[in-house]
Amino acid sequence: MLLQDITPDTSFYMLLAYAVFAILGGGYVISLVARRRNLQRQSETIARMQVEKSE
Amino acid sequence: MQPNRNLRILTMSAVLLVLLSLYMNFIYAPREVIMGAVQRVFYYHVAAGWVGALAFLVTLIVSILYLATNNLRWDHVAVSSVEIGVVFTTMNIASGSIWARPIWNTWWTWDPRLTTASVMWLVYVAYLMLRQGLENPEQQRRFAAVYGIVAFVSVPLTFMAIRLWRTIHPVVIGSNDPAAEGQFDMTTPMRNAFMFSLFTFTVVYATLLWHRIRTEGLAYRVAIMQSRLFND
Repeated sequence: MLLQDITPDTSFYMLLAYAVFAILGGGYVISLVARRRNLQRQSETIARMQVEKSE
Repeated sequence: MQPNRNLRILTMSAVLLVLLSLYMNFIYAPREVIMGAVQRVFYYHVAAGWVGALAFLVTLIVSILYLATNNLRWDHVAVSSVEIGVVFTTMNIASGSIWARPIWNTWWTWDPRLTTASVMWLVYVAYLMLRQGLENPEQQRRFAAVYGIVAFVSVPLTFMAIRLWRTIHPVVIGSNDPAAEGQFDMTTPMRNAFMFSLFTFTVVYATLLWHRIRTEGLAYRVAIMQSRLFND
């Protein structure tokens, strides 16, 4: 078999690329969840402060 | 703020589609003979590029709508879409660089497609940064809308780069430059996996956009509540 007929083993690069997809995609989803939770907490705190202020 | 029923269904569908597309990319589609396993990067690489372009197109449309109507909702869609577009364009550029290492024998080359894609990415990163830099909210929104319209020039330029100039980047749709390296003929299972990845990423984009718009709306309401509290 000629050398150029052998399929190269490029699995490492494939796994690296899919790891990038997973890290960037997963990281973005986590950042969205974290931001929403922070905002919800802030919203609850402000609502509580408003009630305290009116009392 | 709990997600509504439709959003929950969309989110679950997106997760299911991602799992199915992974099955199609890794098991259903055959291994390409010349490049080997790294060719499987192509399915998500192109899909991420497509979503980036789609996100910036949505930004263009809603920016025009914002300037025409002054409706805050369009501004929320614009900033949300740019943010998602930047994430997917980052995926596209990074995965392309990884694919290039075994195929072009380099991580990076200043090829017209790679250069225009990088410029596009920088233009939209600048959108997010400059937006934060303006204090007056009304000025911030108007500036972002105008910027979102002008910045879109970089999108068709990136798409056309491999068709206008001599390049080593393969062309998936349309005629190919003879200088391109890494071109391959798609078999039917490969084409199916590719189309399915495009569809999956489009659904993922719609899902993320919906979630992100809700978060932007909540951030706006919190800002209003804060200003009321401290100004009363």
